[in-house]
Amino acid sequence: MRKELLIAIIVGFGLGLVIIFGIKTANQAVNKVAPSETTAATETSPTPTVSQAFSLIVNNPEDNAISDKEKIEVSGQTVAGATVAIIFPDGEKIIQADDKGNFSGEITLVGGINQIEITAYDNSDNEATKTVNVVYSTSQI
Amino acid sequence: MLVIGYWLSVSPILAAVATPSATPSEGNPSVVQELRDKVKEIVRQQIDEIKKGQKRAYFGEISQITDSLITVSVSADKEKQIKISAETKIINLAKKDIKVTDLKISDFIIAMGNLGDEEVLEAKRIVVAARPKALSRRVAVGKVTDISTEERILTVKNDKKDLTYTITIAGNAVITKKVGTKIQKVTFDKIEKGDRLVAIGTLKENGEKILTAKLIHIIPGQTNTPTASPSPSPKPTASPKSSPTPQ
Repeated sequence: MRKELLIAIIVGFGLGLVIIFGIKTANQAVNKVAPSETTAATETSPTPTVSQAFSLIVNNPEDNAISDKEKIEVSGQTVAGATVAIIFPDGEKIIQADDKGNFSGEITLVGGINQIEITAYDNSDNEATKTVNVVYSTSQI
Repeated sequence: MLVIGYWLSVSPILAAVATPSATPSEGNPSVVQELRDKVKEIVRQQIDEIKKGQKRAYFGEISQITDSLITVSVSADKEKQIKISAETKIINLAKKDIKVTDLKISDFIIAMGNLGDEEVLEAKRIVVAARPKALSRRVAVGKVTDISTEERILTVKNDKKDLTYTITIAGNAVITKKVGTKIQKVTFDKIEKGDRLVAIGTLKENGEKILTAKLIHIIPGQTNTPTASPSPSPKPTASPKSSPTPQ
């Protein structure tokens, strides 16, 4: 009877250890998941600030383009209501972007290389500049 | 006993299942970078494919010449390659036809043709040209803090750059302002303190920044509010004058 009691105690103790090990392993697994979720949250949070940055895209003319016409349109996108200054060999132009940020203006080219500097300004004096080069030639290419 | 047996069998499985989900690749910066690089490479290939065959012009100083290839420096750290064929027409400064062998290192050329593989230009025409002058005009942006009407000089402060410009208005300068939906030409006296403006002209720097403006644009919605309100007031004074006319 005493032998049986002793065996029961040993078996019970062993079972208890196994249960504690099981609980501990499960808890560790759950704790590992939680920190990685918070990391992901902190990593994704800065992305909206990038999209809000002041930007300037020049759609036309493309850099190193050849034009057989003396007058070309400079167009692109920036922030709504921005002021766009264009400097080119033959002159300068200041235009206003519309409420969607689109802008366009006609400029006159000189024969040969035309460096065109386009700068957009928002109401807080933030600025973005792009320079494109266009070659004006009436020769057959 | 049954409960204990069930727990013993389930807990290791739970632990094993939970552990792999705890190490997703989203947290691994090297995997993300690898993906970004792959996407960039695909986009670059697509752009190259679209550009192929398009008419383009490269210009710059010749840094290398072989029988079939010219390398030009287009900027301090950028070079472009130009492929020459038997059909390539080469013209010198005197507008006369020359051969590839007549070209020299440091000649400035404009090459025109179609884009090929790896953005190499397949030249149809090469012209030896004079170096273009760099754009000398500059843009000044800021708020008008002082006006000298007699001398036609403005003091403009750019808070963002912490710069103060002295802007002299050339006699033939064009001043514009957006009124409603249209941009109108206005006179110098329409510029007021507090206005924000963009000015383009020639910049001199001798301690201070002096811009001789050729073009000035007053930015809409940035003018002082009191300046707009007095203008409608003369209209009511005109209406009483009309009453005596029936006599």
